[in-house]
Amino acid sequence: MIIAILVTFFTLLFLGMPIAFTIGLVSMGALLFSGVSLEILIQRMFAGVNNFSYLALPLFILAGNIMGKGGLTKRLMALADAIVGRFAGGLGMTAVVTSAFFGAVSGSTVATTYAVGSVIVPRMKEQRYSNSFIASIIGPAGVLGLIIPPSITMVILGITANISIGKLFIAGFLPGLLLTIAFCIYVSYMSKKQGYGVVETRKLSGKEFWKVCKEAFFPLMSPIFILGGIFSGLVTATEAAVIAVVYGFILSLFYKELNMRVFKDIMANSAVTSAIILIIISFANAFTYVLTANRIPAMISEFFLKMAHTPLQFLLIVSVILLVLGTLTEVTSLIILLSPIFMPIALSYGIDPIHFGMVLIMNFALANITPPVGLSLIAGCSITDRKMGIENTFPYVLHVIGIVAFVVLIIIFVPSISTALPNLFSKG
Amino acid sequence: MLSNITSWIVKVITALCILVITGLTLIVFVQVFSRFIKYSLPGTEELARLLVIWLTFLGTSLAIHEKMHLGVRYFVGLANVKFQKIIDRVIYAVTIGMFAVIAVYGFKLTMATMNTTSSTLQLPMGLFYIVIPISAIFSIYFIILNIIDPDPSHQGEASL
Repeated sequence: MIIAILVTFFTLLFLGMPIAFTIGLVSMGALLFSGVSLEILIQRMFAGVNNFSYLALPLFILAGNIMGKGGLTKRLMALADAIVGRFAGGLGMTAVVTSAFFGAVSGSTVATTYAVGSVIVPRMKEQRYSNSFIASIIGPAGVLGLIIPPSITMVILGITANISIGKLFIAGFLPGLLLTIAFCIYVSYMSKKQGYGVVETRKLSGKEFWKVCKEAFFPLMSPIFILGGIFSGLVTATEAAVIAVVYGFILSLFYKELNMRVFKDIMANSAVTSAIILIIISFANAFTYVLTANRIPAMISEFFLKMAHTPLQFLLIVSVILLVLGTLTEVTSLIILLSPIFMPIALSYGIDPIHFGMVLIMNFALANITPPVGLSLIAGCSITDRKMGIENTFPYVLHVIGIVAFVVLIIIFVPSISTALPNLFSKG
Repeated sequence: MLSNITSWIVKVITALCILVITGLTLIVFVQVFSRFIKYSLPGTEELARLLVIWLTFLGTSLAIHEKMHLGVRYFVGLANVKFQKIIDRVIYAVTIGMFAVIAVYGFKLTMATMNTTSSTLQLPMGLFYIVIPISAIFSIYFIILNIIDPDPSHQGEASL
């Protein structure tokens, strides 16, 4: 039965069937085979989304979408440019730092790549950065949107693995900073070596710098509101999302970048984006029933107990599993299917749930950029050149994957990077 | 004729989705506000659950039309175009079968729960369930459209 489930699952998945329907169909088949009424399928699907806390998901997606289309990117880029633009490979670093800023106002990976890429890629081409380098930077830099709070991926992880979303947000701050710095060092080194971005390096006068800071002030107030609200315990993560929606809406009215038509499109796109995640959660709840009936979570747990004797070994094995699955499948469904199974095992090893959550998040970031199936890398290619394939990103993408993998290891070995800030704020 | 019906259906579902997401925003907004004036509105939690369920299933149908569902297209992309077309049709056919089953059993469950009411708002529980068979039928309709007219340029982008 287990083998039949796995074989059918991967066959349908690799034949291009949407992941939600693959999960649904496999569940349906397994229920039929074990002679359970299919009413169970509908009931489990229903129960899977009949949850009040899930409304955080559409709200964060909406907030991120409004921020993305509201003309904030240009202002954030100007600030990033003013800070790192003067150094060797300045524009490349600007791309990284803008992505980090954008990650702090939006919670999305691909949207970060598209929003930042659409403004900065043409300029990078002018300054003779090679296409393969641009795609290898602008795509992976998008995962900063996933690590730096707010983060839609963290919202999904929070609701499926039952971890505090607010604490995950706070925990993502330092790892995000670490990865931003690592990316910048790499970009600077590589640009110097390859002679990228030497056409112009600009230094701003004090007056110009002040103007740029003023322009970026209101966009950057958004993360301060969101995170400040959550850190201080004044509002829940969900409520913070609504504040971000309202703030982003007012801001874009102020910048005159939104009209009613665009706004309607944003609402509809956010609704559908939420639905494609919620339907995976819904079908996955039926799938969990099938898995549990076949004792699969228990077997996974036994496997770990046999293989891993220390928490560290457990985290490393989980990372290897996610690395392999991450190259082949899409990340959101991995979170929804695997984190509820892994979480109790991690707790039995005595691992801090926030630390474990952060290790998962970093692995998902890595899975987003590993070819052949990496959403962020694909986005990076398509924004650089419509006809560009992921095979054209070598060798740079391998360096970037190495950097992210290295940061994943740091996060695994040094739990305090993830837990220090959440502990600090939960005491106060 | 067919395209008129389609665009009308898409318009209605889109409008409903926009309505739902606006409703969710308002609910949380009201919740924050009511905490400040220390008066809690009953039933907001239940209403939010109803809206999330409707959003899930209506949005799923719409995502089929916009071709936005997440999947792994890489390996099929390696095959030649003719073979891809055959695979796509098989997948579509199987998916239609799945939604047909969901429609039938979803409808049964809706009928069975019409007479029970929800705890705070006293809404018939069938109202929570009915979106499942409705969306299944729309999904089948959109999949059939995709089979008749597989337009590869029409590809929506999820903002994940």
